[in-house]
Amino acid sequence: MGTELPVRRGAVAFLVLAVGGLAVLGRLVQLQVVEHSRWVRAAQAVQEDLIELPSRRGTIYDRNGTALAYDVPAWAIALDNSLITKPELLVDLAVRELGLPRSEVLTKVYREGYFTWLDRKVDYEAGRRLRDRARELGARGLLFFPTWKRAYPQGPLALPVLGVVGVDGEGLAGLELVFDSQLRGKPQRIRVLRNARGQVQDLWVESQGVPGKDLRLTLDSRIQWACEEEIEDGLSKYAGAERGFALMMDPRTGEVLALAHGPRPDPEKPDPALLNPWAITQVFEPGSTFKALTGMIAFELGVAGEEELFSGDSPFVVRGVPIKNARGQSYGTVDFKRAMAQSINTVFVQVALRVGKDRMVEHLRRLGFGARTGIELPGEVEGIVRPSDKWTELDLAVSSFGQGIAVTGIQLGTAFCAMANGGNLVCPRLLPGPTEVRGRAASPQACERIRAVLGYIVGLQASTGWLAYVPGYKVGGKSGTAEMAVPGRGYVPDHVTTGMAAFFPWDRPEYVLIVVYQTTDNPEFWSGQNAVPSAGNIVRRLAALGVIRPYDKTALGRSG
Amino acid sequence: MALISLGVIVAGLVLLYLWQGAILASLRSQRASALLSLQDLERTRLHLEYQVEQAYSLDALADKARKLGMVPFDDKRTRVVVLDGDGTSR
Repeated sequence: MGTELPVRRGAVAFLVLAVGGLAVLGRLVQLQVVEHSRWVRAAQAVQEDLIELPSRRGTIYDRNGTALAYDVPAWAIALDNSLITKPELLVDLAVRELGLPRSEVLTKVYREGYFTWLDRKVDYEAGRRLRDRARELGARGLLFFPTWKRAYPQGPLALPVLGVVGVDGEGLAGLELVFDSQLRGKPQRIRVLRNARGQVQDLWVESQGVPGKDLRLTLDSRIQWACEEEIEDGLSKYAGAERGFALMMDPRTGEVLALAHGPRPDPEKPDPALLNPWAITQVFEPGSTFKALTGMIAFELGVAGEEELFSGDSPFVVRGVPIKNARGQSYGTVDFKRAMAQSINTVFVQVALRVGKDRMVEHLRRLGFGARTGIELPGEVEGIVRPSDKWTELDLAVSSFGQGIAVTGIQLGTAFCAMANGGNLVCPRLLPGPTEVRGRAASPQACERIRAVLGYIVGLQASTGWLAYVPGYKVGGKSGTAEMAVPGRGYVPDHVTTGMAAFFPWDRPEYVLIVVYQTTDNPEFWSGQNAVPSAGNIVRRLAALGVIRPYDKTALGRSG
Repeated sequence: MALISLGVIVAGLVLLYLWQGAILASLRSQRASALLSLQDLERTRLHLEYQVEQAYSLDALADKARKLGMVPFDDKRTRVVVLDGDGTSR
């Protein structure tokens, strides 16, 4: 009796504990095995966050490895309106640190809702300051998401060529648009485990993400900078100049070394109009720069010679229509070289008439006019060269000095590249690669002869191209001034395009340079006063930067 | 006695397991926080790199040069030096 009772009690206790234990075990099995996935999901929802970190977009470099555009860290900041504790403080902080208008912040902070974007591209330092200050002051309700922001370490350099990206990191213009799929990567996904106090307990990368691929361009940031500075300078000092561009190419490969547009856009708030690379997307009448090409075609066909004499009297009548020289000036009998030096329209009309409509149009097409060049930029236009059967003799006459046809800057540059490299029409390129030859535009002999003429005229003080002369650098080229045709108004005297198409050294060119300015309110806007000196200044700037060395025994030095 | 010893061993092992689990959790937490700091540092580095590149951009250098009184290259301050074949000037 004395020992039975404890044994019974022990058995009962064991039974109770065993039943209890079994119940606990059963519940554990239910939670851990049967309902495992449900509770994992519930726990994850409370303890884990999935952070999607946008991948870094590819960097765009110039030919020397200088970064022109890349992603820098930034914050996307949102408001969880249900968590906001000190709304007034939050408004003050956001206004001060982010520079947002108070009215905008007030609307967002006092909005009813759970999630409102405050600003999606906040500068890294500003975002950190805001986060730290909000923590210090106990202002809750701000959500910080790490992201990237496109930055331009060289400022607005080449921005119309590079283009811009949108708030979601997608390319909107320029090379950013054309190569969007290459530059854009895949985002990295990180899972974060938090403890009861919200502190990070563990994290692991769920998806590694893929960074965007870099892009290396043919642009040279030093040449680009020199061209942009000169165009900006030109726009500020040449009366009436409203916009301009400078294009520099390597004629042997077609590589674009610089494509500068002015006025320059502000990289922080770019004006879409200024982001348009109009040297590619818009046409203009090239004016007398075209005389160089007319001369080359004439040499190619053997219908004119350098020393051949022509009448330089003005006007020259074609089919009853008088064609005049600039300012109506007559020059008497002049040779071809002098006609080129003084840009005498009437002489080139005679040359064009010798070439003939069919051959002129055929050669213009061989020079790439009337067709896209295929440069890697969006919005390129074809230019306007009508079929020869629609040309009148008057069309032929005025085409000799670049009127009645419309070209893009890149077409003009490519045509001069053909002249400079001995006749090969190369594809202009912004990305390095093997040289692509589109066809043969002229013979090496014709190119050499016209280059010698253009080299001679720039070195001649009486020529329209004299201000592009830079001692030691053997600049050759041709200037041009053309009135613009406005729909419904015809040619308007104060709407003018001026240009200078140059190359150097003229005997074996390494660079082709096109400078163009436009005005819509100055009838006295002449290439000799703006585009020509600008071309010379660009060569001087490049010499000063040490990008180019003198080709002659005579060189530039610097005094004082 | 054997039962008690077994219980002690099991309890010891459970405690060891829990202790190791706690250590592991603490190390994971440290690792996560270090990884986040590293990410933060990397982002700070990229931000600083951007500031340095901006400061050395051609525009910024030209601005600094102007502030230091260096005038742009122009014709008035340019002279032509004629070099002979041996590189001497005349």
